[in-house]
Amino acid sequence: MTDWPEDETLGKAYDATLIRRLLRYVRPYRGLVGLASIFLLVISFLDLVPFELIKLAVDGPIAAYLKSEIGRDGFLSELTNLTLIFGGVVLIGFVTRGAHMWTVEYLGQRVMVDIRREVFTKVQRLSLRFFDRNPVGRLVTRVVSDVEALYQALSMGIVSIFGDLVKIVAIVAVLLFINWGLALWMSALLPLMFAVSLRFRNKARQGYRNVRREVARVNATVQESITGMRVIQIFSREKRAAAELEGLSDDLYRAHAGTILHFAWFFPAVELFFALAQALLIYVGARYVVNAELTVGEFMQFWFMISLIFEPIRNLSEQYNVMQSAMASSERLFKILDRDELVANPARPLPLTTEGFRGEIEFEHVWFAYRGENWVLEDVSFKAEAGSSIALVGATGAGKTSIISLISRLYDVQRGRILLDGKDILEYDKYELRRTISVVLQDVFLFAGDVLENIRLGKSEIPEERAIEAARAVNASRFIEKLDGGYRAPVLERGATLSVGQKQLLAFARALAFDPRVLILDEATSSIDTETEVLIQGALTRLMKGRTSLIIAHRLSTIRSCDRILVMHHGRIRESGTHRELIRKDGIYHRLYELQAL
Amino acid sequence: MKRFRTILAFVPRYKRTIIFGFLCLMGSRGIALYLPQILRRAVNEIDRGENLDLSVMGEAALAIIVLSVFLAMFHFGMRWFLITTSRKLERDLRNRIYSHLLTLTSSFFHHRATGDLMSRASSDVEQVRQALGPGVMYISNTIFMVPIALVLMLGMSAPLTLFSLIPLLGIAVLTKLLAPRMHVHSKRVQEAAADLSTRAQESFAGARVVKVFAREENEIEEFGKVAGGYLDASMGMARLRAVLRPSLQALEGIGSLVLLLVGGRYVGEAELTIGDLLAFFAYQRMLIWPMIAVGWVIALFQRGAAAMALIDEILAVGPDVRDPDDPIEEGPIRGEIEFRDLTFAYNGSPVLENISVKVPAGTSLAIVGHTGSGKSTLVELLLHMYPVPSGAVFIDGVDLNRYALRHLRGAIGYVPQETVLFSNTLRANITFGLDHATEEEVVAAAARSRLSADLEDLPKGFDTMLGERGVNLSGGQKQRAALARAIIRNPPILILDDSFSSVDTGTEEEILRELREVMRERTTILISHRVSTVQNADRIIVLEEGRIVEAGSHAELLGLGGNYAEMERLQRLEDELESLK
Repeated sequence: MTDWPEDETLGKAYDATLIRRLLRYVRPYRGLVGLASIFLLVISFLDLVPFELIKLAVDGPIAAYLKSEIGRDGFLSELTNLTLIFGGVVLIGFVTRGAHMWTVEYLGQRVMVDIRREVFTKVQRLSLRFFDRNPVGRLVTRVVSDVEALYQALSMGIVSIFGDLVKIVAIVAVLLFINWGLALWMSALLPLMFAVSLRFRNKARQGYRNVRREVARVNATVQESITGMRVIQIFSREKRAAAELEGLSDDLYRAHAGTILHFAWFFPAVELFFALAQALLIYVGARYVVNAELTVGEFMQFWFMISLIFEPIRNLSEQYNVMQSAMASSERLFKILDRDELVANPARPLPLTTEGFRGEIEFEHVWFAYRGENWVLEDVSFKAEAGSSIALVGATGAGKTSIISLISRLYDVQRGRILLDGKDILEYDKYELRRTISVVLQDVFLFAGDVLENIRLGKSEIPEERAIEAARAVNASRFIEKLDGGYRAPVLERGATLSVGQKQLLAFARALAFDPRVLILDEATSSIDTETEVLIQGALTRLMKGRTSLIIAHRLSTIRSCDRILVMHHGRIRESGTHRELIRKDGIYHRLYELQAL
Repeated sequence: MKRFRTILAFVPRYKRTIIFGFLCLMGSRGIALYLPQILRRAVNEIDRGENLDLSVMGEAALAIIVLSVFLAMFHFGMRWFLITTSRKLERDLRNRIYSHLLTLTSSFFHHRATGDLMSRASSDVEQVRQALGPGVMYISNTIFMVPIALVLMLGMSAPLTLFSLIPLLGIAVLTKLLAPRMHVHSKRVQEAAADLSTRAQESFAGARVVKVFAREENEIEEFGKVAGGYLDASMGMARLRAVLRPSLQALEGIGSLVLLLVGGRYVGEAELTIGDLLAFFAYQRMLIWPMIAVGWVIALFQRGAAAMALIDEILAVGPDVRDPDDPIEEGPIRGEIEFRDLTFAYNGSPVLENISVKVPAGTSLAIVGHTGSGKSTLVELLLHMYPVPSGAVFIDGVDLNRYALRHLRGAIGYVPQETVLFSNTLRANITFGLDHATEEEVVAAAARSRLSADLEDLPKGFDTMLGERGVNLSGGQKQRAALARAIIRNPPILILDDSFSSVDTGTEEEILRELREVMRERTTILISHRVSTVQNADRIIVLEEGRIVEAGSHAELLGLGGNYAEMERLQRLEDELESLK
């Protein structure tokens, strides 16, 4: 096996420009940030209070009562008072800690939703060329995982870094206050502890990376074997395949062992530090006690404090990686947000009103390529008079679908013009244009909602009666009424429960309800039962009546009902005429007809 | 534990390591429990104030350091021995699942999603390991520590021990109650995240449709809702965490509070020393994690057992094709094939009916027919991919069922319809069915498959990595590589199952011409849609719904004027259309 490329290249953990841009998303939630900070400070303070109370108790009433300086009642009431304060601290700490956790999470989640929506919205607005170049999987990763990494940076990273720093400072401050000499002795351990934690973090990160790489290799191999099992068995490779996986499994084990090793030394190392700190405390502390500079209560307080300081130090070293991957993710996200691959909209678009709009389409010497000079359409010219119908036929890859894409302005032509009512379509608003033209695609697009909503496509100005009337006119009402809930039946999983024919009828109803001047239809190739077929043909005739129709036709009956047939072949219009004329010609159309490849 | 039988079977191999691990565990926990006793003595000394004996303190400090060094060593050993063993068990279990999968036949893989099998071999194995590795380690830790700590605490003060146990039990109960709910919430978050991915995936994949219908705004709104759903799920989890963590912290606080109130009183009344009190604090803190572990480990075990059951279910399936008990002696196979009144049904529905055809060694048979007519099944039976009825398929006059699988399959070069190449070098893919291959053999096989010219486009020639993380070959290149993989084995029987669908007609003819040379001495079975591919075969059969409807040579079949003749006519039309440029 050769090297497997590493997916994650991590760079800086702090990039001022990126951070500044990220903070823009936090600004709307300034209030929450403030609240979280206050909670944090309160918690950091409350966490240290109990040890002060213990010290007060030990050095105060307990010592006094032992030396019989106070009476039993005084002792008990003082002890109870301290315990009551302790109880209050626990209670307030409980509430504040919960509130803090909730606030931080809510803040992070809200910001994440905002960024996620913004990225998704941006991607939606980008042109189809962007989608052609970027695999769907990569885009999904941006919207899901990269945004998640930002959230981690926000709710765990930034907030927690602040919190940990506060904790460390507070502990050190308290220790200095009690006995600065002893505190300085103890502080000598701090940088050492931090260095060890950082080293562990780096080692562990490398270890995790190795593990991830080996896991990916094992999984890829298992997956490949499952899909290619027949080949393995036919070529009698079972034994070697098993041996190969055992080899990879061993590698994975070794990678795991690497991380186990790091953890196995790190946790004992932390314990060793604690022991060292305790020994120092006992040995050095004893000297201060002898000089009466340290009480037994203070000694105890010291002991408690040093047991607390490890956690924030360990956390801090962890945040470095979180920030690193967040920086990398935000860079990728901002790259998408900064893209401007849009199908341009004119500044002052021509109005596209239903009145006075005739629906005449004309292609004028259109050349089009998805990439470079690989022409998919070469010098295509034709004119569809208002109200006439044209059937486009040709083998797969002849360029029929591209014509539809161009009329809807999913792409712009490289040469030539497309005219709608004599005006270049570039001059209209593209959304207006797309809404004016009804397109029925092969794979019918159904969205979550009920049947009626799917017919009206979210346009509330279409009255319910008209939608139902349209469904009736295209013979869709029969199956709809049989659905559980009729027109209000929910469409599940993008219509997976409906048959191809039913979806087609639904799409027809949608097109009719919109009553467009221009109809573009990509007829379904999949086989449909004869009964539905008859329904569809009837619906189609009704749909085409009085509209400019451009139909990629696969059924002879459809083709025959059109005024004119255009035969596409290798990106050019090669023949044109009626069915009878073309058959007589004995050219491409004739052969397609014989092959039943129409 | 009985439910983990399958994986526990691997345990004896690692007996010594595991014993060492547990000895280290006891050693490290034992020292950890002893350390507070030193602290206790030191504090009692400190309590004497200015009169304290410095040498006692020095000894205590030294003892702590020395003991801690041992503690660290034992702790290291505990983690190293126990956790690496759990990883070894995981590895063994995964290998076992994988080698089991390798014995299973097509009928098994047909109705099982690859994703499901993948989770058996990855996430389910991991769940089992978590139960047996960290799970066992932490619960052993608890079982070992709690009694000893109790004894030590009881030795100092029985009533105070009872008081300090109350919050600890609270911690155990709380985690036991909330750990399953935590799991439910984290599942919910995972599902919401999956929804998010699906939604984005659908929307981006359908970008074209979305734009045609000017549905961008609705998509954005819909996605916003799903993103909101993810927020809700995450906040559900956060709420639970915002209760759990502070509660644990509060219980710990209450523990200290009780020690202060009750213990402080005992100290004041001289029933307890101040050192005892600090030791109590130390023990209570030491026991918090073992208490949390109780609830947590129970959940781990439940999940591990469920995963183990799923794995066992797979391991219980046996192959439906295996080597015969007394296979015929392995020797060279000439390649005579005969189907004798073969009828085959799959899942109750008939696929092939009354197939009788004989292919003498060294001749070629072509099979044509529509999709689903049974062509591929016929050759798959020859490869013994499904159970074959006895007395129906013969090779060199011997019933197929009497051949060892390796013997039989070793004699057949098979080029499947769907080309499967592996993410490895081109060389490794070509020599896939051989243990050893010389450079000359690889070069010759590539040349015969018309792959030599393509090699120039590959950055490292035969050593170029293919697949996802390497070069992606075109459909035609893949098919030719698969052909090279089959013919390098020099098999007496060659099966080409529609193997040139992505190869252009010119190249296909070249390959066939070359093959005719190679296959003169061998038996060939060709499946194809193209007349040009099959016309030169010695014999052609036409399959329809699992039956032979026409049989004969190209000329004979054309003369019949049936399905084959119609197919030939359409083919000609297509070629004409293609030539119209």
